[in-house]
Amino acid sequence: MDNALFSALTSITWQQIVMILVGGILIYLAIAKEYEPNLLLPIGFGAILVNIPFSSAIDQGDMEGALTVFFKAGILTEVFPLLIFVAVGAMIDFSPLFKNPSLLLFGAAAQFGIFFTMTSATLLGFNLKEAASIGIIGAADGPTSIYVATRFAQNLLGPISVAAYSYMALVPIIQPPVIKALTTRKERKIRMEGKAKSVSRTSLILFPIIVTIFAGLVAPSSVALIGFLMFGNLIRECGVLNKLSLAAQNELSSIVTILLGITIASTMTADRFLTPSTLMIIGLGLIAFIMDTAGGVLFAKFLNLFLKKKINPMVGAAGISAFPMSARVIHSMGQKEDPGNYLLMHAVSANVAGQIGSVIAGGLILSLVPLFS
Amino acid sequence: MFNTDLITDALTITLEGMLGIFAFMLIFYLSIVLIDKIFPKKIEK
Repeated sequence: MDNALFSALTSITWQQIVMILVGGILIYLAIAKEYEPNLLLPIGFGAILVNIPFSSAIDQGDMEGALTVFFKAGILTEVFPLLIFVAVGAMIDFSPLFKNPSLLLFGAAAQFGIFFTMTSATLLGFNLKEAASIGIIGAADGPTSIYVATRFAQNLLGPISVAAYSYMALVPIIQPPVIKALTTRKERKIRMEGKAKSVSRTSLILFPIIVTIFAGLVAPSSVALIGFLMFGNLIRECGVLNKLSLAAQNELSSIVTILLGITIASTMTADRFLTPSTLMIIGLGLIAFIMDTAGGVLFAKFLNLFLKKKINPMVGAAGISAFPMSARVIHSMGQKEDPGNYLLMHAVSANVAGQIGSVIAGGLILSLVPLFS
Repeated sequence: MFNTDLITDALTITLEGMLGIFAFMLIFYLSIVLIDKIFPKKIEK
């Protein structure tokens, strides 16, 4: 028997075996439960790749591994997350916001979980940059979480990504009990009026440009984050780049998603992942999603104190970025209480606002945290 | 482990961050209303 051939088998540690099992669980969740399969499957398989002893997928001494090369070229340079933002921007339709612009405020309120979790993380001993990276799981927006973690806490990139994508998939399980705990049946039955409107093309073209310029002038650190998202949206709305818009929504999104997922996994080696921090991050991520939901619902209830035409407080919970899952959850909860209540249009508007809100929150975190650390 | 300065910083960022997001959203709201007035949309129903 050649020792060199079987050296990996004889030197595998129990930690690496656990990580291979973790990879297997992520693959199972992606395939059997369809929990964000686009990301969790590549991350799961990548976790297996990097935890095989002496794996040639990652750097071993002087030997460069492909995943480490991808990590340096695509994650450390922020290229992969930013390309994903172009793809996401090309997929977002902002017209629901024009139909119901006041619901933009819920896209702000439902980011509360980010900051609550960041503060909680500092109580658990994380430094400010790590805490901010953990808090941003509450953006319910994978690329934003990856982007902020890349800037502030590369050592936590693996668990943060896994938590962000897992909880996004679990929105239908996480949100309903929180909403029910904070609302009465009467509140959940509130009907909201809405009228169908068409939005001019000029409006949809101007919106991403104005948002980029304004956000950039106020928080220059957010320019890449917001700018790439809005660039993707401009390609979609301009009406003369349909081919590029489709390419961004399909080919670009697919290619970068594959690379992003498997590259993130390069950080999931046993020595980095099997730490108490990972468990804390998984727990804090859940708190972030719960507090986002609570923030949106409570803000709606607060507004109702002053409004004649009441808002269904469940719509506030749709102000997170998990689109369109959160809007669907709210609509179906409304229909359960009152089959004639159609909240989908309002929930979609709040949900689109959440997509902007999460990126703005990421930009603000990137601008504010360095001032204090 | 329990660092009061750190927590004070986190709370300050929370306050400024939430105010910042609301301010951004308010500006976006006003932008949408303004764009809508300048380039009016047709009411379908």
